[in-house]
Amino acid sequence: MLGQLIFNKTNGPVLQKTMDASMLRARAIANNVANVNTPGFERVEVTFENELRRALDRTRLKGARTDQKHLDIGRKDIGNVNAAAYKPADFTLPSGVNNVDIDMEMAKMAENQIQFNFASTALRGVFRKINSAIQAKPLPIQ
Amino acid sequence: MPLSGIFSGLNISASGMSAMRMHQNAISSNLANAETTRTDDGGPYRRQFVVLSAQSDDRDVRILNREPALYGEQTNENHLPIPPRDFPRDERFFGNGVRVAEIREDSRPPRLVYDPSHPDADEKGYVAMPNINVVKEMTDMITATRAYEANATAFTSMKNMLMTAIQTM
Repeated sequence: MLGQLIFNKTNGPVLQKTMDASMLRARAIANNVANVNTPGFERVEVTFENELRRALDRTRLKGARTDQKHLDIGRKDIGNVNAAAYKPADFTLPSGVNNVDIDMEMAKMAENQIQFNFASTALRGVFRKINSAIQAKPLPIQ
Repeated sequence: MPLSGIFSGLNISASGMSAMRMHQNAISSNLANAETTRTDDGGPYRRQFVVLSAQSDDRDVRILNREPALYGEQTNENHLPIPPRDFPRDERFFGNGVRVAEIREDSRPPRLVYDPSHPDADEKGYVAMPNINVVKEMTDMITATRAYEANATAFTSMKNMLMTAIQTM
């Protein structure tokens, strides 16, 4: 109820999905790093940003769903955007025994952590604003 | 070992650290026994090495490879793209870390060193020494150490993310 009335009208759902994707990506990177010496291992990657970008693009067409049987047309609802893991078709051998490039994984890990921290900080801001609206107290100027 | 919940990322890195530690132990054993000519099984010491294997996670297979809600066939170019029934999906999609499948003994023959004064020398004066190349062991050790550090970094990163998530409240 409160979620539908307030939370879904803020940036909250986008940030929530971003944090979900970052968590999945952190697991994928941890898995790649753990298997850096495993012969024949295939790297796992996570896609999310492109789908999110498409879902947020207001210039794209979006079909209204007035019936349960309707198909989703065009732009997706943010609730239906999900991060997905996949194995890229990459046949190089940067580590000598598999396609995990440890430097790339470390860079992706740092990037992913910053993305997560950003989403977390922004989400905290969303909650502060909701709180201030409920309590009818203006936010202190920062 | 079923791994689930928000802490599974930590367990993935921990499995990597554990495997690298075991690798390190095997290397230490090889270096300590680089000149050992007598073992319980008879003959010289044989080089030991770990065989690593990726662990798969049944839980993630279900989450990541769930069935599409709808199948469709595209018989006209104006049709909307809907996944066909035989849409390829990988069965073993996501793992949860690494494990040491086994510790093997190197089957390569022992190194023969001419030393007639050695008590284990044969009638021609040759001693069967362990099949250990110290330089290779040293490079393996550096690899294992670096991989351990990488896993430790991944662990710290995951831990910081979880702490940040908790502090959002």
